Amino acid sequence: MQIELVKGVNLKVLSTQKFKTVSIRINFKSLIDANEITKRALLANLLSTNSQHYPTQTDYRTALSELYGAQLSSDVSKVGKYHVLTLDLDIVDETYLNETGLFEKATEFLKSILFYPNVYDGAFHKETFQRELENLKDEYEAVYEDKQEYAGIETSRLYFDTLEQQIPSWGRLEDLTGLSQRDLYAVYQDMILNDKIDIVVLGDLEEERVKKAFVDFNFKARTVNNESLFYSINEVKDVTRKKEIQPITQAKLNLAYKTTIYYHQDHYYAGQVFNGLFGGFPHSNLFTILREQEGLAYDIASGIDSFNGVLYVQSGIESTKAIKVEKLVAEQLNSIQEGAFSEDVIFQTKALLKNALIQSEDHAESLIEKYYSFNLIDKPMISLVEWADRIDAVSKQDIIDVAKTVELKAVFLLSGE
Amino acid sequence: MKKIEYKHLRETLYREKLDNGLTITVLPKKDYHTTFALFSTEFGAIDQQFIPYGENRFIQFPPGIAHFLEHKLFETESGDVFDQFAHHGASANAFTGLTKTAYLFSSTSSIKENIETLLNFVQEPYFTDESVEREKEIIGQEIQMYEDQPEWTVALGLLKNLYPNHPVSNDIAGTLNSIQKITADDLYRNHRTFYHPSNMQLFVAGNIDEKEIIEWVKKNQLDKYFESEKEIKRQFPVVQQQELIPYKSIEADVVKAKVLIGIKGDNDDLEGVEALRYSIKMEFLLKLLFGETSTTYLKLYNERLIDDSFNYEHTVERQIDYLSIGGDAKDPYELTMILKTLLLTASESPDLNEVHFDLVKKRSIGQELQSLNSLEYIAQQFVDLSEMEASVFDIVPLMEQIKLEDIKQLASSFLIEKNMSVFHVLKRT
Repeated sequence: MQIELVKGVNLKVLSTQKFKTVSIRINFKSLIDANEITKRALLANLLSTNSQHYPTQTDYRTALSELYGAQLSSDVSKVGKYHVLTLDLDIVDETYLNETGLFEKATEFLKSILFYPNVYDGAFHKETFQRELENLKDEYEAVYEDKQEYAGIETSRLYFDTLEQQIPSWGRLEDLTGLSQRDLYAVYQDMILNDKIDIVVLGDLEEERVKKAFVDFNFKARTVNNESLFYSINEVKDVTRKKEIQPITQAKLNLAYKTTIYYHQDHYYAGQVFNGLFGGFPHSNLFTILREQEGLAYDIASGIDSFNGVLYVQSGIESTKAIKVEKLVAEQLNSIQEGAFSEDVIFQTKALLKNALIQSEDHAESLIEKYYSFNLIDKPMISLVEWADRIDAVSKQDIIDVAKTVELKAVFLLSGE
Repeated sequence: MKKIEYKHLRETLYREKLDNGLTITVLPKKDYHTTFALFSTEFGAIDQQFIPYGENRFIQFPPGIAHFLEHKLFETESGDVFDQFAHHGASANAFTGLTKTAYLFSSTSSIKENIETLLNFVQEPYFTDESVEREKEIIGQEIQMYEDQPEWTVALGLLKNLYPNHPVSNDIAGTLNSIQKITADDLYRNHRTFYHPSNMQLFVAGNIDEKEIIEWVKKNQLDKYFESEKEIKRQFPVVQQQELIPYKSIEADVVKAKVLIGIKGDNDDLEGVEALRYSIKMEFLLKLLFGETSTTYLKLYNERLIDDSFNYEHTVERQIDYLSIGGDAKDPYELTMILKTLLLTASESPDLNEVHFDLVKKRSIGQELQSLNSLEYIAQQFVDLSEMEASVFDIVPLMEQIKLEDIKQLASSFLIEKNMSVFHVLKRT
């Protein structure tokens, strides 16, 4: 059961003895606002750099080292229509150490950095702010050196029809201009007072012990937004295309398709099997035909963003082969739409999907992720058996039907000179 | 079957060496759903010159052959191995390193079938001239993909400085030219030499019964014919004769320049516990000098000389022993000068004090315990440490034994200028 600490702030304890660690995750969720994405990304960095009680990075990291190498990280992500700022703290389960109360010390640290950020007179500490602003700027600029990521960002920009969805979850360079340490404090206050907060703790701990630690945070009650999570682009007629030239050896060709595949909704399971057949696994059409048979790409795969209903194909190819690759990718989609695949390959795909599903139970992070994803779509979590049964229930016709709803909407080519 | 218990970690290992020379290690993990198996050979990208099995003189093979062989083993006479694994719900992969090649699968069912698939495809090579030719295109794409990654350029550049004319400095995948020379016959001769069971080990972890696993493997191996065990004779350029290149740079289309400083050591022949202890000492030294709790790190970060890309690493394997440190830099020359000075005066560094040492040790022990959640991490450690007398579960106790004095000694013996080299990737002007 989920514990409501106050309205809009919930705690979940996932009890297990499987791991040598205790994982704590705090998610702050709000509707995406194009003006806030970059600020929240910067805020996430500020919160994991220093604080009033630990004013330098050395103080801050020393405190974490004292907690036996506790690993703190912050991140921002977009899940459909929501922007989520996440704080993660992983510690060693104290039974493997000559220690008691390590969990309480860790939550005490979290409380301290969360409620006492490095703020004076309503503004973040100037030098820290400027250093982290510059660091974020460097990170945005460095995307140019990661061609795969660069191509991914450009593809999303082509595909989506709103600014909120076009901007990456970690923000963009132009929004850093004119940002002040006072603006950031306002963003912090908004987050701590108004965001929906979900805390998940996974490890060998009693619920009461965990609850006691977090009740002590004294979060304020807040009203919760219930707008549906899922995003879908409006219908547009044509495929949007863009080609960019850079001095590179290997070209990147990315495609984005509109689908009806949404997390645990009607077409989800058939959509997973379809993606597995199309380009999700090494036995898929894209891998076996474009890579193994035609030798056109070392790297080619498809994947689904099931909160935005998008299917992506990304590939690394020779610049001169772009037209051929695009044609062959279209043929592979077509062949699935026409049902040109065997029962055997369906069986293999289902076996791999179920394998991945069951294996995710062996990773603390995946368990937390899964819990939170169900929480986001406001559905009770289904058991592994039920999940696997739903994969098994997918018929050949279901796969064909879902494949037929897939429509190409954006093509981005990053090409050599 | 040998049983090794690690009570403080609640882990038990089982080991057996089969008559054909294959070493099997089993780690039962009753809470886990996944079974993870890794089949590896002591053969990597640097092993290019050796006497092929059944022959009598040294042959030089084209750079990239170990990696090429890894790719090609996935094709069998009866079709693609991925299909066979997928049929039994296993996902499979493989990787080639400088001194090892490993093949792995993870699955939650049909463990026996998947172990057999793993053993069979790795031990039963099948190459045709036509499929070897097609693979050249795929690997050519892989090589080009790396060429567009500046981090890769700087890492390989440093290796070329530290190990000129030594296969350590070749790209693991080879070059577009070198892979053109590979033939099906070359692949067979490499396989025959290095994929003999006596040069290999199998590691299996998961919700499994150790006796059952070992029985399955024994049965599988008894049904196969293996040639008699022979010592493998490899040849490498003698390291002492080499001149290290102290500095090189290239220009590339980068946003920020990249700096990497390396120092070469000569402890690549250490084995077992000693290799592990050496590696831990080096980790401590680097964390003390440059880690997130060092005064150096904060200072360099606040002065904007380094950013989040700043990184350090030490590698010790057969033929290889070097550390590297660096990252993106607005001013590559200034960062280089500062890092060089810090390295060369390390034994007097104020960060090498007892309080900081205890802190780093505490952090390292905690982080090591955290990584033991991951079967992938544990399995990888078994590939790196094939010696029977040391394992990943010895790391924490070894960490506890190490003293600050050991680290200071290491600093003054290892961090010396004549073994140091610098590589820059500069912004194209």
